[in-house]
Amino acid sequence: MPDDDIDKARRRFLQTTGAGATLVLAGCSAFDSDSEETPTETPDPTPTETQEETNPSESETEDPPESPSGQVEQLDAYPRVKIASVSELSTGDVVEFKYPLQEQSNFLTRLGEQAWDGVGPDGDIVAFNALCTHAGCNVAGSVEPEDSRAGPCPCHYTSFDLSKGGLVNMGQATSDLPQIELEVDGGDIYATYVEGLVWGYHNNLRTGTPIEAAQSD
Amino acid sequence: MSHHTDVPIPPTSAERHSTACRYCIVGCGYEVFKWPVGEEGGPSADENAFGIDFPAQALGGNGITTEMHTVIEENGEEYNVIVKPDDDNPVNNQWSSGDHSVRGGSIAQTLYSPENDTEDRLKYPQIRIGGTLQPVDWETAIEAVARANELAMDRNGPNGVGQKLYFYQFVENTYAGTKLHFDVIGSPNWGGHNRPALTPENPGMRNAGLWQFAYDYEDTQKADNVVMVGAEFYENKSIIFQEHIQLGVQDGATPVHIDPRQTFTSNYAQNNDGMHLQLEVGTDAVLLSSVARHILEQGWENTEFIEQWTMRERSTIDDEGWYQKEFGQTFEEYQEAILDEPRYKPENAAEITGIPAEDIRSFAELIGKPDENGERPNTVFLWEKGLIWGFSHENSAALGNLVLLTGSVGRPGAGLSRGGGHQEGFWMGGPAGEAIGEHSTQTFTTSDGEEVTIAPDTDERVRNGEILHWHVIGCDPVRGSYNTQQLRNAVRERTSGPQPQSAEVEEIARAWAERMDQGGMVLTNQEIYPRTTTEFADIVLPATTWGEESDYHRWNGERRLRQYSGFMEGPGEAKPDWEIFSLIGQEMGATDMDWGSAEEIFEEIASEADHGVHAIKAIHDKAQEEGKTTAEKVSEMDTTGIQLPARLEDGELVGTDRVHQPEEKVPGSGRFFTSTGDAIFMQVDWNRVEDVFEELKPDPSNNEIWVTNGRVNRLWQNLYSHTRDPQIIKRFKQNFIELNPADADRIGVEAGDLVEIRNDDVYNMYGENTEGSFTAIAYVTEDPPQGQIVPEGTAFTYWLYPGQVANDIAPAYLDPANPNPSYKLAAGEVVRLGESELKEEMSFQARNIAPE
Ligand code: SF4
Ligand code: FES
Repeated sequence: MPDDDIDKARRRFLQTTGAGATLVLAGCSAFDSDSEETPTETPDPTPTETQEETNPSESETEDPPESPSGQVEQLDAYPRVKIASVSELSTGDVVEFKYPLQEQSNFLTRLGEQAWDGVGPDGDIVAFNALCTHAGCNVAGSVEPEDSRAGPCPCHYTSFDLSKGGLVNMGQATSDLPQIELEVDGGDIYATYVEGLVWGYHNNLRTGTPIEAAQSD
Repeated sequence: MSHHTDVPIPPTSAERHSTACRYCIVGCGYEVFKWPVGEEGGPSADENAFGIDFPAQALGGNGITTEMHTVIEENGEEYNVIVKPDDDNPVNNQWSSGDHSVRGGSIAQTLYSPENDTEDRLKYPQIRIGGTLQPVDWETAIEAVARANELAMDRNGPNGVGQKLYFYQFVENTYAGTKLHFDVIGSPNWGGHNRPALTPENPGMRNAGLWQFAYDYEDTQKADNVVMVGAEFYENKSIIFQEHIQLGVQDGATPVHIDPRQTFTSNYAQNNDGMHLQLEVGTDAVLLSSVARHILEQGWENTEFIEQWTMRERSTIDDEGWYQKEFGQTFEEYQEAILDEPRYKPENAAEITGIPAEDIRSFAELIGKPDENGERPNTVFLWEKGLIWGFSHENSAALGNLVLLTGSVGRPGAGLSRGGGHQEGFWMGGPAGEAIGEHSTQTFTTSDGEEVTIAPDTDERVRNGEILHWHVIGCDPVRGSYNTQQLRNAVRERTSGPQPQSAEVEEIARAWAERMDQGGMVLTNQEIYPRTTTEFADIVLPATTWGEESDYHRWNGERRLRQYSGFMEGPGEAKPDWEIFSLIGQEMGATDMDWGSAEEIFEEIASEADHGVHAIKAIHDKAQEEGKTTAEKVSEMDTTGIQLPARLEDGELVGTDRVHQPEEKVPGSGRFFTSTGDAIFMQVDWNRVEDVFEELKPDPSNNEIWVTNGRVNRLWQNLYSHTRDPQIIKRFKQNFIELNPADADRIGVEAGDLVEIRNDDVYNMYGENTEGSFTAIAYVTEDPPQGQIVPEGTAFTYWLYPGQVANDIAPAYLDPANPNPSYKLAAGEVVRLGESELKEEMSFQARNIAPE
């Protein structure tokens, strides 16, 4: 049942944020503010703890402007951002991070098997945008690294193969889960690009607040 | 290929067209936005045609994915087109908004466009001259088709011509096509896209007075039990599953899945306190009759319903028609037959079906037993091709009988329906009964020794030489028929005789006459893309399709009629199918086929359609009152449309949520569709098919296993459009075959190996058995988290993959009384050919993981 899934998602999120708390960048999902408007039967697509667990950054405490187009600070290119270090990431971990906008949730995981565009010594570290490409629900809570799978999505049960570029294995999504391109530099993992359109956006770099690029050494 | 990373937002000035999905039976409401390239809307609500702020809200129905957008070209101008689910209609907006499946979500990628892989759309009429298809003008092409018809009729009367036509591609086109065939030509040799004769698909229900699409989708939300037989609902009726059934289950309904495979829907049922009855391939009728037997033994049958609503007199049943006389039963006869048949005892049925007797009894209790207050459960019975393309009479009768036994029909939460495949857009335009009655060369001998004329198996008449000109429209019979390897061999041989040496019509006619005299055949293929059948075609007629030029009409699985707007031009010189039929008809002397538009045809249909389950005259009458055309009136109803039959109540136009309600809702019919309005129990006699079943069963001494076939989530029909969308087809770049690891081990194959499936003894009721084979990629999953999708001894493959055709081993067994094929009952030996180049690329993850 979707509700159980959400509970599981929450538990997993709490577990994983333990290890990854310092890595979770500021900001809440673009969809949290809308969750009250979704039908009561609808599982909240995003673990609500995201709001509680993270501290809104300065810029987010400002009153939101009337129209999203007003608040766009356009990014012209994908930033290079440090999101984790290889040594802190064990097989089976799932760590959420924001990229390239503060409203965009992604997850980083280590599968234990080599994956397409995987990084790290075993080529098994991958990251994906967390929004299901079908209708935008958050699949970060449904990641099963031991099966190299995200899903079934809590909403309409699409599952994605994380070892094959986020390929839709089964379900209603038409496009792969957008893969976050990663680079490893001196043991640190950097996000550098998003391959594919993040659900709900018309452009991955618009209608949101850019995260601050971390300094690279 | 690299993915797009942005999509344009439609400006407030974008044109909006209302339509419904191009594909499956669910018939989700869709809308199309079209605007010139260069103009763009903004991300705030007042700057765009959706009226929403971007980013779009999850589950809100307004996200634009890259798959929903394309750019088309018209008259040298470029236009953005977005094809997206509509967020305001009852089909795909119950649990979430603007829901869609993987199929519907990618329609934009299939529109004719320089951006899409659609360059091979058929654009010009062609005729095979000197052995090669060459472009010709429309006049020559139409004359040639008319000449082919005349030559065939000169030699073999109307029987010389056969037509194979889709059931779904809009009422205007099927009306014009069947008018040409049954009225102008008068031939009995007609097959739909999925079967070779003009037969009911569910003879054991249709002849019992039960309609195959009787429910309202929302009934599944109100039901106590949702029983799904021989159909993978999540994958293939996706939005009925996720917007309707799932709400019912969340509300306490018990889901039951009856299927030889353990699919997503099976696991969903099991994870939600329901049941999966994983029966042996082909044994549905035994299982369902055993359930009936337990209900009868416990006295749980709905006596009140049976007394009031089923035919109780033998003589009334006999008067209904030969089919009812042969197979119809009074309740007493039915009861006796079921109780007298030892095979229907749960313990014995367990042996045949593989379902434990206790599960048979539990399922009987679930749907049959009244509660302590005498209240009966509301069950919605749903089924599809797993049932239909087994033993079609026995299977459909056995399920129909359960509906009558429980009386679970015609009230909220209770009813029956096919899950369905495609949407429905068939309207008979000519006197088919007359043509079949006068000319059919196929008969059935009843148990009284009476010989009755029945609709002919036309695919067999292509093989045996009766048909001299075969006109195939919008379907691919050399892949979609039974025993297709043999059919292709026959078609290749029969079209390979004398060839025209120039495009001069007299020369064309000379060569074809000679060919026909040598036992050959001329093949006309009216299509949107070249397909397997096109390889053998003498004449190719390019057609337009969904969204192109004409405004069309059809309905979905709850009989919801909508308008499908034409919003773009077709390619090259392609014409709408109705116009092609009209030109051929006029060339052959018809004076009543000179329609100027699809709208005119719809008006003609609507003005007459005053009775039956698809009555639409009420819309026509209301439109006239308001000074509109019928098409304009339907268009006003946008994506919501109206559920048929349409009726006038106190002068107001109303639809009908479900049929078979106790109060008569269907103009001209009683509660059930028989002469008295009472339904009929139908005989289910396993002796009728048992010998055939034994022959069809896999022969272990030949290493055979069941190789059954069907749809999968992301592929649509014969893949005419989905091979063209890289995002879709990359999941299955070749056909695949699901194998249980135990079988894979035994055969010595692993995931990603290329295998051949062979049967050198394909059953053929018409003569010697034949050979068939096809190749596929072995799909094997070790240790799937929720169980193997196929049991040992049963494999599953996609049914219509281009070039790797599962029907090549489908048996030529058709019910003698109602020639429907048993496509699903195929078996073969799986042999390893080698390692496939897709081995590394393809994902072999479990495809049946349901939420726990
Ligand atoms: S469920 Fe069927 S009608 Fe709905 S979007 Fe999918 S293919 Fe189209
Ligand atoms: S939002 Fe994930 S499957 Fe629909």
